[in-house]
Amino acid sequence: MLDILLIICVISIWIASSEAVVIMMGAIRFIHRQNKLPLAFPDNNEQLPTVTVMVPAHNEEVVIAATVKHILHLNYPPEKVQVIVIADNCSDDTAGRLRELKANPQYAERDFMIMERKGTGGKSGALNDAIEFAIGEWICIYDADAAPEKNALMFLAQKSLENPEKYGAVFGRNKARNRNQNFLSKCINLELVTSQRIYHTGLWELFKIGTIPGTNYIIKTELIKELGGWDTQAITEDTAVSFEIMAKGQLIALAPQAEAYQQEPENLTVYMKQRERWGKGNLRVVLDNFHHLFDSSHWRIKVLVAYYAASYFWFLLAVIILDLAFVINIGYFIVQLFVPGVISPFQFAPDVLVYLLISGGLMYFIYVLQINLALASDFGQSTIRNFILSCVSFYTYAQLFLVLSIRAFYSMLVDKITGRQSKWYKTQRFG
Amino acid sequence: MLKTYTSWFVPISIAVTIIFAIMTFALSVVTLIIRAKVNKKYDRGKLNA
Repeated sequence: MLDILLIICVISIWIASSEAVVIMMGAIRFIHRQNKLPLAFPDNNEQLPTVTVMVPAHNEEVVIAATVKHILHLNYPPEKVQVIVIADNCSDDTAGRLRELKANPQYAERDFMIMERKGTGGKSGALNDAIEFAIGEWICIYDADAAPEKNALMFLAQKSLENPEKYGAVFGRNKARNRNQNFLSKCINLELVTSQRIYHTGLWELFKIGTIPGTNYIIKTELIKELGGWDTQAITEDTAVSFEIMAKGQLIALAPQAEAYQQEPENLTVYMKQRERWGKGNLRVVLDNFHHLFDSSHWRIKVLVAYYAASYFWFLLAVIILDLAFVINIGYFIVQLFVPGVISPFQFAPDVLVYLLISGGLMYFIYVLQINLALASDFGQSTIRNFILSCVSFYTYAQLFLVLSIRAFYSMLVDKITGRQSKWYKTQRFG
Repeated sequence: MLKTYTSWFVPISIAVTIIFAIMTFALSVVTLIIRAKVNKKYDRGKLNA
């Protein structure tokens, strides 16, 4: 029985690696096409839509002024930009810093609103309250730690003009601005680059599937109002709204040149809390949307649900079982030194084991390769140091996902059984 | 049980290994090509020279 279980796990990992290879091929095709396109801005500003930029901020005095300044200096017609910053349940001087910024004479003519809010619902609740005041055709969301590049909004809007009927939202790329801080931040950078430049790109190129990353995106005002706003019960409101947009038959388009910098966690405790929240939130969203696999939903949403479900449940379980088998076999090997004849229940026939070890090695190489393909497409990131880091990260950083996924799953189960409400945890900022 | 699964699993393992080996070689070559193209396109130092 156990050998059948191991075989199923191995075949699952083969399927996961094949999925990675297919997505990489999609990303390569995208990179190839993108490199041929010249960088061009719209011919005239008349065609650009009006945008309400909303920035939800909870106790963000450290970063908020710099973020809003970046937004006010975006290369976009100022008369077409409304900025709403929501100081949400702040116990620090977030609102004060914003008032200081607004008092600057150079922003006197700008449509810049500071909303001090006392309410529930976390980020979603803050956005839902602000949307009542939004006058733009599109809503643009930036997190409080975001530093959008000057043309980020222009590129997002330009993409929306390619297919205004079909594109319900457009998302850009996010980069870690504190990526060289320490080993953890360097690994997070690798993960971010890979997810942005391989997974997001490959899924968009192959299937026109996109998912909102939480910051640096625009969404049609009409659409988000039709959806009833952001889900205040969802811990990961970005994933939840992505499924809702696609369920409406709209696409979430990728604008790869629209880039924004964000701050990533610099210590392990902060990182684990953030990622556990994301893991739990995404698990919940997948389970809530699982029914789409079996109903008459559009094939794209079925593909997205299958992709998430496979990643968060199927492939993860296979990896955990194989890791456990590996650890147990090491234990048995040590015991055999003292008690010969003791045999591990997790065994393969010798001739099978050889090929499994070879394909295991190739899968590791595929993991390293996808990171380095992503780095190769981002100028300045394909360095020897990053290559070594990608090789090392498999045995270190990547293993954290197993721990995080188990913890997220356990936390979600406890919530369901006990009826516990999830608390929205704000990621700590670093100066 | 051991004999039953090796008769079909070994050929499948061989086939998967060969396919992955070809794919990783091809993707490695493509990665190096993309790296060279991106560096050539965006390296202002080289363009100025």
